Formats: sequence, structure tokens, C-alpha cells
Amino acid sequence: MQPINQKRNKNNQAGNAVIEFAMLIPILVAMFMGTWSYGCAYYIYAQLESAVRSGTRYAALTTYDATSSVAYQMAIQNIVVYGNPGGGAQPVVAGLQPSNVNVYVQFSGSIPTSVSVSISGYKIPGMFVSPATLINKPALQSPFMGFYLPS
Amino acid sequence: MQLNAKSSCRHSLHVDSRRGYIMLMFSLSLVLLLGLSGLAIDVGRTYVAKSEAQSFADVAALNAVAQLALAPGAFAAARNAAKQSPKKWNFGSSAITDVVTTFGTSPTDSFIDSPPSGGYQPSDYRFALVTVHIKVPMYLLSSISGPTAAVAAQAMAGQMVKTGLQGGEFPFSPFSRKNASPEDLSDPFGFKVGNTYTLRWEPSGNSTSCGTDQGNVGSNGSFRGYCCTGASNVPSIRDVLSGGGTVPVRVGDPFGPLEAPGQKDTINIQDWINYDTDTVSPDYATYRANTTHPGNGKRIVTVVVNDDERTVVGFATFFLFPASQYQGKNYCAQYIGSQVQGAPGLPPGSGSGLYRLKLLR
Repeated sequence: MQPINQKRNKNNQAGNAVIEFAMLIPILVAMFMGTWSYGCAYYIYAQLESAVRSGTRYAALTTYDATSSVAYQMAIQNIVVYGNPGGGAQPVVAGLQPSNVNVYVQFSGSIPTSVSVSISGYKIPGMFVSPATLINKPALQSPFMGFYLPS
Repeated sequence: MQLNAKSSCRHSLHVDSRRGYIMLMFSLSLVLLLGLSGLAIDVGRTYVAKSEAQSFADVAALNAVAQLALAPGAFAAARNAAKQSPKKWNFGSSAITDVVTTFGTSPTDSFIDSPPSGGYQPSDYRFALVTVHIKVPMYLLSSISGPTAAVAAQAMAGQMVKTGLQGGEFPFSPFSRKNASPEDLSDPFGFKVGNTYTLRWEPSGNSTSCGTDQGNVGSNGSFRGYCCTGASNVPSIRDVLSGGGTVPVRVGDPFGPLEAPGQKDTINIQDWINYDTDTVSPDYATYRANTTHPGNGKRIVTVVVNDDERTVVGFATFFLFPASQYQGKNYCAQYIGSQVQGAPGLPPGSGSGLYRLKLLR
């Protein structure tokens, strides 16, 4: 027969593990969520960087028609968002919209000399904190090396 | 009783040893957890840095090879051009400074730092390989990987020979001098840079007044000069400029001239010249040197060269003389050698061949 104290001790012991685990759960969750959030954010940013690179390459080497500069801009936005100048249904980065893609063409006289592509207003989702909104990042600029078609 | 006391003591020790067990295990696991977190964060940052470095390298390689197109053999200028990209890393906050540019004569060549070598001329180097190095500081993995992780990115760009055009070629065509009175044996068409040749010919029997073509009517003077506009239509100049007015053509294709009488005059070369911002410079050297009202390159045209036997033998680059020189008869133009389509600037006025810029890897 076990003494009463010993029995009580054993019962107390069972509770200790639960309490310790409960104390550590928030730390574990915080670490997991932090790691997950940063990992996702880096992954999304790298995907955006790659999309902007594709868009800039296309913008630098394609024809710039002075009578349809809007079409030129839309084609670049579609390359960044969908990987296709004609557009698409599935963006290469979830939630990315053509309106998030800035296309800025610099001219000398009326001739395009360089083109910049960047992302603005895109929110990288965060699990802990509010989503981080990108402003002109990532961005890439290239000299314009395509064909210029005057109006 | 002694036994009971011993048993109680052992139990007490056992209880004490279990107290804080999870805390102890957590502490031990924390090292592993921190390592995994570090892996996710530091590797993630490295991944982003790699992508940023690749973006820089892509633009840098195009910049370098475009510079070589404007000034063949100007390797120092090409190296400098490669470094001019404003692209930064570390989420766009840190400048990229470790940039190495090497040059080659083909994509499979051994790229070297100080060309030329092996009997090549400086102008033979039409490919640039840019290598970018970045050192990414490590926060949580520094004990394993050291204080920084080395990230490298590479891009190769080059001037690729064009053997076909999708459209956009000037709708007049000179004939090759390679087998008939060549003026420069090193040129693929026997043309000499700076000399004047006839793009549009008068009807058969009439003589031309263009440069060394003067008095020469050739054997097919009635049609020579009208190229690639399709079977029976005459494109507008702007259609040609956009690449939609002329048909795709490749080296070796049969030369399909437009012969229908009456249509020839509707191709108005003056309209084309007026697209340029310098419509008056009398020759290419003056045009290149004009800094007051620099030209935008529209007077520089790509033409299909025929062999006088209705076969396309290649593409050449010509400079159109001022509109005031044309009287609706012959169209004369100055041969200016090589051109790299897309290079941001005027061709050098030397060499030969038609190329395009391309990012190769």
C-alpha cells in the first residue's frame, strides 16, 4: 500500500508536464510562425524578383510603338504577373495584379532610352504582423534595346 | 521501515529528476529549432540575394555587349557599362560592386579577361560573360557557414548573327558585288563601307547615278530593288517600320521582287526619312557626329541583298541620303557595315553583317 503523500506527489507530477508544456507552447508557436512568415516572405520576394527580371528583359528587347504605349505597358505587366504578354488566369505569385506592376520608360526626345519595372502596392502576407506592403521593390532598370516605332 | 525510507527517498529523487524534464528537453531542442529557423531565414535571404544578383548580371551582360556593338573592341568601356546597372541587392539597399566581365568570340569560347588572343581581332569579340559575387551576412547560421555566405550569379549575352528577318526590312534590295566587281574582298557582299550603292533601280535600259553603280544597269534592272512586300501589295512605310509590311525572309530564299508597274512610286522613301530627327546630314560620318540635332537612326535601314539571280544572300545596313537628293528615280544609299539590332546607339560604321542582342544564359 502506497503512502498518501506519495500518491499525491505522483498526481502533482502528472500536472507538471502539462503546465511546462503549456508554458512552452507559445514560444514554440511563435518560433514556428516567425520562421514560416519570414520563409514565405523571402520566397515570395524572390519570386517577385524573378518576375520583374522577366518583365524587364521583355521590355528592353521588344518593340515600343509610340501609338500604343498602353499596349506596351500592358504586355510588360502581363509578363510580370502571368509570364505571358497576352495575359492569363493564374498569376506567377499569388495575389499579384497587373496594377501592382509599374512600368516607367525614359525618353531622349521621343526615343525610349531605358525602361524600369517595379512592384508597388503588393502585400506580402504575414502571419503575426500586418502584411508588408512593397513600394517600388523589387525593381530593375535596363537600357531600351528594342525597336522603336514612331507615331 | 528502513526499506520504506529508502524507497521513499528513491521515489523522491525520481520525482525531482522528472521535474523540469520538458524544460530540459526544450532547451536541448531549442538549439535544433534555432538551427532550423536559421536555415529558413538565412537560406531565404541568400535565395533572394541570388535572385537579385541574377537580375543585375542579366542587365550587366546586355549592357556590356551593347557597348561592344557601338564600339567594337572597347573592352574597358564594356566593363564599365556592365557596372552601370542601378540594381542593388539586400532588398534593393546595397550596391553590387564585385562584377567581373570577360569576353569571347562565341558562346562556347573560353572567355578571357584581356582580349584579343589566339589570332582574333578585337572586333571579333561579340560575347560577354558577367559574373557577380555577393557576400550575404549570416545571422543564425554563422557558426556553421561562417559570418558570410558567398553568392554568385552569371549571365552571358551576345550578338547573334541574323540569318532571317521576320519583317521590317527596307523594301528595296541591292545586288551583291561579291562575284561582280567587288570593292572590298573581305566584305561578304563585296561592298565597301562608305561607298554608295543603288537600292532602287530605274527600269531596264536606264542607267543609275549612284556611286560606283553609275552607268550600270545590270541584267535585271526592271525589278531589282523591290523586295519582300508580298505578291502584289505595296506596304505603307509605317507598316514596314512595324515589321508588318514586309514578308519574313531568310538567306537562300528566292528573291521575290514586286514588279507591278505603277506601284513602285507609291513607296515613298521621303516619308521614311522624315521619321528621323536628323533629315539633313549628307553622309553617315556627319550624321554620327551631329550632336546638335542627333538622329534617331531611322535613316539606317536593313536591306536584303540579292545575288542578281533572284536569291537572297544576306542582309546589309545602309544609310539613306537626305530626301532632297531623291527625284523619284534611283534610290542611292551609303553602305555602313555592321549593325546590331537593338543596340542603344548608332552603328559604328565599320565591319559587316547583321546581328541581334540576345541574353544567352
